[in-house]
Amino acid sequence: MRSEAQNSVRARAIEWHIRLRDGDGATWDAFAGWLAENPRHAEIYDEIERIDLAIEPLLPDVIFREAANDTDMSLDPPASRVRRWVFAGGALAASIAAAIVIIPQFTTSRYDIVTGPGEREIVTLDAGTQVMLNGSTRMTFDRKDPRFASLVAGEALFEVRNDGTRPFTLEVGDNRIEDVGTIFNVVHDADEVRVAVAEGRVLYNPGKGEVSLDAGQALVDSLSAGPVRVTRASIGSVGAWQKGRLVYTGEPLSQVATDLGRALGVRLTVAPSIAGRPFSGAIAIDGSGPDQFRRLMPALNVTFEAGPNGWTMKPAGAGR
Amino acid sequence: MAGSGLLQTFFDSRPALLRYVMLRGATADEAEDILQEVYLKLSVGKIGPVAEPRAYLYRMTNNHLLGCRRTAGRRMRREEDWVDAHGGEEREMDEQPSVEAHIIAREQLAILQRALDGLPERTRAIFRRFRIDGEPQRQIAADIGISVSAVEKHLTRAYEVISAAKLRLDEDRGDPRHLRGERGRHEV
Repeated sequence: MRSEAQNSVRARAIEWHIRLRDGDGATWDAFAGWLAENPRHAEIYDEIERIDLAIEPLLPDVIFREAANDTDMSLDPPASRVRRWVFAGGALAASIAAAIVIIPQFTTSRYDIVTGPGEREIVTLDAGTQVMLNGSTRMTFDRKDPRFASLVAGEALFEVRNDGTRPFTLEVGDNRIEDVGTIFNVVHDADEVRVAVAEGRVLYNPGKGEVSLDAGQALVDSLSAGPVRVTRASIGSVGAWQKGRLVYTGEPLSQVATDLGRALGVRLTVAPSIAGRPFSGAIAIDGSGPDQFRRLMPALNVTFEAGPNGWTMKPAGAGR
Repeated sequence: MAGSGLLQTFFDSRPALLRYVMLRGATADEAEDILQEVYLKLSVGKIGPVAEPRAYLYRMTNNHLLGCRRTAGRRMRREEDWVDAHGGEEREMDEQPSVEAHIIAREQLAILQRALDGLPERTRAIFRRFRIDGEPQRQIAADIGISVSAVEKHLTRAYEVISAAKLRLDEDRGDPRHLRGERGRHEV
């Protein structure tokens, strides 16, 4: 039988174990002092620590049944699997963990998936088809039709299973993209649609001023003005955001700012004087959030300023 | 710069760290070895600025201590296995999950799941946020509007239940005596 005293040592050991995780130097010193009081303390603490280590490999498989306000899991649409997917960096993860919302539309078989700033999400439509949603993105899917998706706003990378008899159709505002089996990335911002193809081929607006894009090609469709422009895309850079990389070959800083904002989960606007300045290079998102702005300043030759409505990208040396 | 600051803290904290490792059951020699490893890691590794250098060093030292125990346990088990196999091929039992290990893992999971299911919902949610999501207690407390000490009470309860759940511990097959000190085998 365990005595009262033993139980209280156990309880103390557990308290120490919990406190030490986020504890400061003084906490550790005090813990050492407690260990020194009685050799039994170290024994019991050993046991607690070993139990905590032993559950480590089990924890990913534990099911935590929780309150109804955790709607993201309980409303998980049956036709698809939605999997949380965050940066390896992890720093972003903690702050945005609850950002994803699934909005069921009960009258139809359609449902929306929305990611918050900095949040990522993978939606599996069928065995060979996955959509990776970048941050601040809203998409509509159809429970009954795995070959349909709509990018309402934001950015997503598509990996589509080849099915010659049923092309995959993506709606982007009033535009349509058809594809038979490829990897491609689509951005839908306020005033433009950008498509880049890494593998296979897609048709942009088939039968309606149709543009065919092959692997290594990209297009920009400014909703306000001008015809669709087709450019070259480096295949490795298509959907590179998904690996935490943003790759540019002469794109304007306004686009870099939009992408950075989405990746870092902040509101970022760009001063008009440099919005059109082209940038070439790669940015590796390191998971440190807005802290990364400081490190990006020399590379982009800009400064970042925090304001009440988020961050602003300004010419280097401005504002001081 | 940050690295050398940490190194300075290491030199200042060395006696305390040494005492700590020995209080955890290491012999003087083992403790010196562990601190030497920590020192080597500090002097070659690129470690960014650290908010709580002394706590960071304690944690690092503790990890090395656990690492030593693991290797020592593994080495001992391998030697036993080697003897068991009458001098046959040395088998790396740890790295090769057998069917038996798989069944044990499933049993363990069931035990843990039952233990956690028995907790009040709020306690379980707090434990998840602390242990799986790695959220600091302060943040959990602020988020659900209770005090840090209340969060600690929930966590204590969760760990009490888990530690009472009779989980089978990994190293039970062979404890390296000195690193561990005398484990409570006389406890009935």
